[in-house]
Amino acid sequence: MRSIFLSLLLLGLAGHSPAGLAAGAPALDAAKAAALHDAAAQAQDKCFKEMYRDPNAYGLCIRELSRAQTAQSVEQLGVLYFGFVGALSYMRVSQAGATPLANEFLKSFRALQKAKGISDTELCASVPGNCELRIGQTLAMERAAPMAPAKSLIPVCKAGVCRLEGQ
Amino acid sequence: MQFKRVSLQSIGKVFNPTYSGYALIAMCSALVVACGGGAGDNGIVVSGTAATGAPMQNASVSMRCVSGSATGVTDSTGKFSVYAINAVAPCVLEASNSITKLHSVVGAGSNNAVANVTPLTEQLVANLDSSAVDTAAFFNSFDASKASLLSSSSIATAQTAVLTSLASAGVNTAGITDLIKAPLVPRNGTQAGNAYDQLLDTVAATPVVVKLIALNDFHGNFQEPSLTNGGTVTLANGASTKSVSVGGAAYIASALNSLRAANPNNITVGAGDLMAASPFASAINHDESTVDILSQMGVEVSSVGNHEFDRGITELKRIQNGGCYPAGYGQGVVGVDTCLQTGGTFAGARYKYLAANVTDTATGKPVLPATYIKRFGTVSVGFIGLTFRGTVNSVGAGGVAGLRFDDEATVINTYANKLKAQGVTAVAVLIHQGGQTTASTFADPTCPGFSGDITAILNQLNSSVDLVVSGHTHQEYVCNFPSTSAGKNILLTSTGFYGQALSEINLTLKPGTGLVSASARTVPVIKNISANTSTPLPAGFSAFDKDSTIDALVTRYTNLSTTAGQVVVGSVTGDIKRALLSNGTLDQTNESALANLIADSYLTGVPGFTADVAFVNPGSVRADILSTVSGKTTGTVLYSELATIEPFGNTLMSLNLTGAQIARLLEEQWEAPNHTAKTNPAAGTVGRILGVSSGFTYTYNNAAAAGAAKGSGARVDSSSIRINGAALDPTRVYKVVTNSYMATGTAPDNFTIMATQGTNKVDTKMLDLDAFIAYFRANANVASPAARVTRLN
Repeated sequence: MRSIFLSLLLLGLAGHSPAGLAAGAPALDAAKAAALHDAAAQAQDKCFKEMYRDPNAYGLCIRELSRAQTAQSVEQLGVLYFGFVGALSYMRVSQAGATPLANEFLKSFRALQKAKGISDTELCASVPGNCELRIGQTLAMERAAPMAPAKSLIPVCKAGVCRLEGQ
Repeated sequence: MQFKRVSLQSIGKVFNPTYSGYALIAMCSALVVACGGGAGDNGIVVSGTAATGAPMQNASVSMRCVSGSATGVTDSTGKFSVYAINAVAPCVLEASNSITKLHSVVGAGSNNAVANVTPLTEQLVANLDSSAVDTAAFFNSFDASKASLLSSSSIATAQTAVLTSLASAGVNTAGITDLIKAPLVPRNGTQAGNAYDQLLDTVAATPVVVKLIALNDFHGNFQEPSLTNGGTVTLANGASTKSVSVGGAAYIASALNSLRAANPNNITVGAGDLMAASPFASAINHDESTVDILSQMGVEVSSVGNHEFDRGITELKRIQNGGCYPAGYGQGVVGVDTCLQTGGTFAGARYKYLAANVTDTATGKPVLPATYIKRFGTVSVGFIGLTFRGTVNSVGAGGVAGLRFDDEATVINTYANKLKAQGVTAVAVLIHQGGQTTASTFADPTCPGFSGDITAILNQLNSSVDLVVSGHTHQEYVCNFPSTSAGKNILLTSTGFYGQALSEINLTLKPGTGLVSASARTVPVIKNISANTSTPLPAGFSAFDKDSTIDALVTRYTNLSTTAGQVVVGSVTGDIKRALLSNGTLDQTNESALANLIADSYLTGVPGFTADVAFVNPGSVRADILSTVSGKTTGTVLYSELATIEPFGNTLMSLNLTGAQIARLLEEQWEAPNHTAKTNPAAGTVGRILGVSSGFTYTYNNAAAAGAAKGSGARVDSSSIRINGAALDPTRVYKVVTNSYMATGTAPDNFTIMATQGTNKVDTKMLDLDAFIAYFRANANVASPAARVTRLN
């Protein structure tokens, strides 16, 4: 499975220039690409199922797993990148709490991605999905105005009926 | 006429069991001669041919009559003859071999009848009555009480329906008008069959496209969901994206109508959590409104989900069968929070809840039906409905008391084989369990990166399963899952949540062959409003108008909930809040005034009940009490506010703990893994701080290490623990009250002491919300409680 992934990954990298970072030679050799993928897969396996139950638990799980990796490593990047992708997958269905998490992990993986010199295309290939769309969404989120801090849901009463709504 | 071995039996009649089968054949043959081709006055002879196009060779034939029964076996040409002594028609027939099971009927007044058994008579039987759609079950339960269903007019009507459906499918019936008695000669080797047989061949070769429309995790959102919580989806729009607002029952109904119009062979199904954990407008009336709306929208069958058990099996059965919510504690008021339908009634769900893996431990019987069969002309789909096995741990004890939740795959495989043996053309599983993809847009047909708890189930299914409609994870996907155990791809769908989309599933089926092909897509329920349509929708997506009938129903229930929610249940002197992080989200790591107040209601809210202390998990408190809120009189507390704060339907339970165990319970607040589950970096606090009732106080050292292993934490100054001023006695047994979530399971919110070491547990059956209401009714001008926990450092 891993060798198939690597083949697909390397094929996918061919001819793609980094979208969010300066173009250049791929920064990832096969071993690092596999390590990136495996770290993201580990984050998916360990943390993703928390997302629908409790986005906070998902965030904590990703942060904890990230801290368990060697600082500034591709493994840490893989975990943080999956943290973003997992939250983004719940942003598409407007799950409460998904957007702040996606923005948080976007910020954290971006810093590490730049430090490692890894292109958007290389990074995106570590998690299955439509990379053209995902990279576009990533850039659009970065271009958007910074989000206000996450607010809790509060009861709002209208005509005597109270519902939980975002502040 | 050729005879194979025939065995006879009689129910409640004199019968000599020493007769051998062959002797009885001789007797039967003699009777045929003596009676001019008929049976004697006290028996019924039925002969015919069992065929699907090819003869059903060596198939078992059983006959059940109003009185009497018989069994036999077909010969190599599918012919059979059975004789039931002392029997009274009408009768039903069943022919079965290892591949298929078919049925037919014999009308009243016949004692020497011809009755073929074919896929068309099977369809005829299914058309007799809704109780006969599951033909095998109808056969097995046939008795005198169902004789009226087999009147000559009923049989004629059912037969006409079959012939009509054939004609509408473009099948030439070649002059065959009597599906039961028409001569039937199956093909045999190179010898072609007769006209009836050729009709069967045509039917078998004619595919039928069946449309399933599915939804899951609706959670009572008949009103349009909040745009920031389920009410928006992100669509791919070329290389870009477009967000659209979705949901609301009136729009869903319109989308359903649109999909149904494309194919009359359709059914609308659910995969659980259709109700409960609902918005106030539905929760206030115990989800009767949601059930009514879904029923009127034409949902026909659904699996249960974990939330269907939130209020227990008795309440779930009321939701299914109808009746008013029990009166008490201000609830169960007809016309206010229950029985809102015409005449002060609640008819229950028109759709059928299935729970194949849920058994009553006392009786050993299923609590709800396991399967449902839907016929579409010459084909049928059998549905198996179930929830995930872990439901037992995800619902409060009162909800699942006395119930057993069995392994999903084992149950599915058992029923799938059974349904296929009964002759259904395809098997669809409705399961409240799911997975997640890594898609970044809605309705991505590629199912990228699929994972989750359902994968292990899918990889244990057998090849009898053709389709899985899933839910629970609030995700949207259409996947062709390569099941290693089934040896084939199984189509898998889920729609997201809160009614944001429908799954449109098209199955191409052939009688006798089964599933030929399957495809699906997710249809987001896009509202036809300018915010969505001012710029073009991406290709392949449509917006829907509101359905006026359902919209009127939504308005009616919204207005009723408004009236009920406006009831003032108490008053406060100011805000009573949870601990909050700087960004306004819940802080479980610090003492919560509102959790403490709720603990007070636990302690005093149950009439005639006394205890020493109450504990509340902070995560169960879902909102704050605000004195001043737009839309209400300052200082009042509305029913709707309390229902928002305590929405889970937990009951209050008492249990005994020693003083030493209570001290250990307090340490669990910071022991691993609670020390990382909840954190407040700004305050330097971690863990989950329990709400405690009035009179219970203690001090802890926030500078002491957190995250100790279970049983070894040491943050609380044990000498500081007081109950009503008295030091906690480590050896004394104290009576504790908490909610059913915290009192049961193995480690709710990572607390184990109450759940696993508490003794003499008693479920008071009092809902936490009811206790809270009772507290406010008993106490005017409630103030925010003073701190009961002292944090050092």
